[in-house]
Amino acid sequence: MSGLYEPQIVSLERVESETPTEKTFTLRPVNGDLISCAPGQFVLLSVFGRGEAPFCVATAGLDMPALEVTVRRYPDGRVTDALHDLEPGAYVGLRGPFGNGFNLEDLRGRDLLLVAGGIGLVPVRPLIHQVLTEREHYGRLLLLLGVKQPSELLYRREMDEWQARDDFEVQVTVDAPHPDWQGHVGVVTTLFPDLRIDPARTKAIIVGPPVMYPFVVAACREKGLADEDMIFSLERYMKCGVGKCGHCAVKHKYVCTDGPVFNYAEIRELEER
Amino acid sequence: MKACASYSLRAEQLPALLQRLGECADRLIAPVRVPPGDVVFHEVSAPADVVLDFGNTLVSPVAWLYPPWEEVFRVTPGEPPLVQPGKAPPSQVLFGVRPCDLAALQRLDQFFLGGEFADDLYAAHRSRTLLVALTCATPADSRCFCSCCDSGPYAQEGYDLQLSPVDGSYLVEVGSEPGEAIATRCADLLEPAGEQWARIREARVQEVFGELEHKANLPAAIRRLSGEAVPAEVWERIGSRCLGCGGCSFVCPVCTCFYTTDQTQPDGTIVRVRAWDSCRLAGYTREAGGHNPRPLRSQRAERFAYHKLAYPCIEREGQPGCVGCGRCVTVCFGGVHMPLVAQMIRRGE
Repeated sequence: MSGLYEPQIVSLERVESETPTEKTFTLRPVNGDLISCAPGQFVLLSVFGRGEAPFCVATAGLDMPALEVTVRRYPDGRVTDALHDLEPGAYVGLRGPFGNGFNLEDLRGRDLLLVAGGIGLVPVRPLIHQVLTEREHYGRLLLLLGVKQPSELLYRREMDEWQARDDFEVQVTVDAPHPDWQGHVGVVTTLFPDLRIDPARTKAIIVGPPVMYPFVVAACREKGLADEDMIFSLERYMKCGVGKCGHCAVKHKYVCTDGPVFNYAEIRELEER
Repeated sequence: MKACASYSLRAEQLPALLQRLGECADRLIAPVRVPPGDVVFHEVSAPADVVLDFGNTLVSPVAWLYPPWEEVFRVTPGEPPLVQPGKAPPSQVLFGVRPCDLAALQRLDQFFLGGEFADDLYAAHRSRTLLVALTCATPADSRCFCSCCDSGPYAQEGYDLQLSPVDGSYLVEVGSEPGEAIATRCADLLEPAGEQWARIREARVQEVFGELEHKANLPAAIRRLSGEAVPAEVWERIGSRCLGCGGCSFVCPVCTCFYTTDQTQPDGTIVRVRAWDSCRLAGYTREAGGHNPRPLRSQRAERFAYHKLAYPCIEREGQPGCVGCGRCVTVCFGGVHMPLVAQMIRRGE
């Protein structure tokens, strides 16, 4: 009886292992419908018989024939676990995209400092794609990426391309020393002391595990960034994506319909992580 | 819509009215007594089964518009799978709805039908439902406190018909065009009510209002919760008495939270259902990766109170999230029901 909650059927066109625990799925509507998705929006995916769960979209664009999501497998996650077992050609349900996404108007003309932790890179990736397609509209583009260990690095081929560009400053750090890693060691905030930014021109986009947020906020404030210029993409458990199920509500904000992208001035009073 | 006409109905004609109401829709839902004596809203076939001497039912009649468990769609496996919507719900007359529950339904209307997305499951029930309210001629229960919530003991709007017991008869007020259509169909049972009926009813309302306990004082709790911070000890004390059972949410006619789950039938068909959920339950906000922003009962108690009583939520949803039905008073094993929570917030202790 429900158009709001009925998914469309999409097929898994490609399944690519990114890491031992993450896969990127390419989803194509079986009826040939095109999908438009702004950077930072999310979808709800159904593995029929297991359930439905929200996922960030890893690609963005207008009228796309397919979109990508990158999903970490969790043993306790009924949907993520089932998704990872699916082969190309399998069918899943898709609703959305939902949510506000990043406000590009607000970002154009500014230097962008992207701070991502682990799979926090996923919602940042479509924003990077967007910026690179209209690079002249932005100032500096910096990515500070922190992962626990080198094996967790996503989108490696793309990362190499990004690092090769002279208009994209990419720094990667791993939390602890590792035999396979010659680069910077330490959590992502350890990249901040050497960071030179113009706080008046800079917008920080911060996505990662909740434990990362207070430290990155403190580091950004130390660099002179205003709370309005720190932008987060939040994650909450969701069952509907459309502001009805109640699960993602934090105080009077719904992460699904008011977000998932918020600036820090909007959420600093919400007192939840 | 304000009452546009009013009639009187002699008490002995009530079964005839119920009979007619039953003919207006696929089903008539009304209060009936079931063993061992509880009154519940249920489908009735015989008007004689309907009882009117009930306080308030433990489960609100809103469950007939927002069911505890409901099919959203079903999927037939295949290449590709076929998604089919659930069946349209039957049309229904909901008879005997207390004003507090009617007020709750107005909140559900605003929540489910308003905003960016309209909930078409709720809309399907709502558009097929006629509401016949029954005012409280005496306080329905020692536990209710509608007088604190501006939601009773009679309704000013939101009904199709409203019945008020007046001296062995009923004042029948019409509140909508469908209500007027029913009144027209029942013209042989109804007589136009003179002005004195409304006056008598009004006097009775004042009496009931005086008899109700004004124990909750929600406005003061709302001010306190929305302004200065409520001391953390208040939430800790509530959390220490809360069993985390979710009972308050499940009986609350204003609570709307749900989860969805897939059920695989023996023939392989998969049914997506949605069912009531509660923000008081530990797993409510737990994510697949294990992160849980509200692991403590005290945090969930604060969430529950904030959503129902804080200005930013009231502003968003139009009304406070409590209608004073008193059901949480009945079910809370820890005794931390809304009137007490409101008092603890107010006193900050």
